[in-house]
Amino acid sequence: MNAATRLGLLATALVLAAVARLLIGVDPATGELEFSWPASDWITFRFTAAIIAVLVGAGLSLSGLLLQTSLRNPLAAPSVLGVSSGAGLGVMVALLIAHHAGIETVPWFAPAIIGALIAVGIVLVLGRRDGWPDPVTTILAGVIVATMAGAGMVLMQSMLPADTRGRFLAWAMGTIPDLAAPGPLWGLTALVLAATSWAWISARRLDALRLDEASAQTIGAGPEPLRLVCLVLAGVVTAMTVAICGPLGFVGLLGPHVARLLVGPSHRLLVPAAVLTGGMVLVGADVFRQLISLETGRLPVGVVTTLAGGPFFLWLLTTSRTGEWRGDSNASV
Amino acid sequence: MLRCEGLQHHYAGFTLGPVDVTIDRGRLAVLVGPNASGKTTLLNLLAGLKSPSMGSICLDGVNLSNTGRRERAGKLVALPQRPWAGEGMTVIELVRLGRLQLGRDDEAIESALDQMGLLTHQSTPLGALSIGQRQRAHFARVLAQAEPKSMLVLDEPTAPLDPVWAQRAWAVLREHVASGGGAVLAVHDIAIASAMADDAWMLHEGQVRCSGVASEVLAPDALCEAFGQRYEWAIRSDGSRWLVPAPCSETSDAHLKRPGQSSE
Repeated sequence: MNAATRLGLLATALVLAAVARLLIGVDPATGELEFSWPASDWITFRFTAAIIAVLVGAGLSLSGLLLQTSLRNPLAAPSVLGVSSGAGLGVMVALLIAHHAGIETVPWFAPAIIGALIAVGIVLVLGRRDGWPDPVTTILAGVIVATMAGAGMVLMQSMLPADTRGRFLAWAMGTIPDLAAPGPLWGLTALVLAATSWAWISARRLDALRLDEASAQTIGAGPEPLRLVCLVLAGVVTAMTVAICGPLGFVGLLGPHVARLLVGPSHRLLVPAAVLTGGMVLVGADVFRQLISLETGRLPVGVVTTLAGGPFFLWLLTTSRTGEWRGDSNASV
Repeated sequence: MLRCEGLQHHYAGFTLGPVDVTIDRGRLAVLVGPNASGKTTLLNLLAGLKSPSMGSICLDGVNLSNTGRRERAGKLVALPQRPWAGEGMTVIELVRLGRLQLGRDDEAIESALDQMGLLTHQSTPLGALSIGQRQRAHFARVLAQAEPKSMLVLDEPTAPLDPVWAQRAWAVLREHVASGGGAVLAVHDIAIASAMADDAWMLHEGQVRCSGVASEVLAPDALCEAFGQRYEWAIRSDGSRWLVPAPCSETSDAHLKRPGQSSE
């Protein structure tokens, strides 16, 4: 089976997953699971949830791919490097300020973007060794930033009154809303499409980032500005997803790696594959969480992605040869 | 013509220069010197991979900092000391990247692969090749990228190659120079450099100790001063001269003939 066929199968799988999400839902009156085409007054909610899951999953996966490529690190992902938590902290700080200023609603995207970019900047600065992001130090710096930003979010929550705090609790754990204003939804759609198009058009230059720095420079790839664009784009896309769904763990790690296994490392195929896989992972997680009924309701989707992605990250940590991403692997002579 | 004037670079307590050198098209220049003498730093500066602390580097009269990525990719092609490519990249993908800014040229790509004996390994991931084969793949990338008039800046390009492929690589470089291009490379193999190069610079502790025609610069006395190692001329049966490190004992060099020494 060639890579293009695999790409087609991925697209089909995504559509099927989205249809499954439309067919599955919880009756709000009884709390029972329903497997049926929703009634006309409910279809908008399920459709909105499915669309958001596809877009957010695609965006996070693309962000993960851009981070992995630009940092030459297979373990890089928005949640691992603290980008998601940074965006979340940005939203919480803005929420606290808005609450004290008596402002009811503010656009959460701006503080999310600022938080995400600050997190990227800190990780880059802390993770540098000899002017280059060291794989292990970068991940450690990311873990520290993610932990601190997560603690910051809890602190911000505790400083809010109970009613406001309750509204944001589900968001903070990662949830896919089934109701969204058209503005943010269109904004996210446009951003994910634009970022995907840019990455696809820049596929060969992104491939050049798989070379050593000097080779990438001499062939004219312009690795430094390209890397900066990748990092900023990953930060902004992640921030948009966090503003809508809250921090979702590991989607940005799972998506690119599954896609790489299916179509290989060349970005011409990897970019669309990662976008499709990310969408599928998140829609799949959202379908899965509907199936598990707890006394208190359904699991937040962020818990599902973290429970699934955590072991995958550990597996990757123990098996991935980061040296191969930086050309340090030993070869037979 | 690649020319640098008053070139200086400071890092980690090491100072390179000031260096003034010119590499003309149609000439093959080698840069020799002991470890940590500044060869790689100088080549990185000449290739525009690093910015100098002081001084200027001009390619055909235009300051390198004023040339765009695309223009530079066609005119100035570098091969770093230990090039590498990330996980899963195949030979053909690497060689095609040489044309990233120059437009696809299947003929140039095939020719480069053929010159480096990699036509049958096109689809092989670099990770599955030996270190020498990988170096040939990176060399092929350089050849695919190079235009006839390009200046090549290569850092120890033949170090991982076996003698046969090292000779082949030198021959390819001579062809490039003969077709109007230029090349400068750092080497440790003084013997082959003395036989193949037109010009040479000897670098020692960040300073160019001597430069000029290779046969004059790569002289036993100068090499002895730079490396602390005696070199002698050996004469092959075809009459060509090769510089070789002097053996430790006089008895072990019976197979060598030196100028003025009669064969027995």
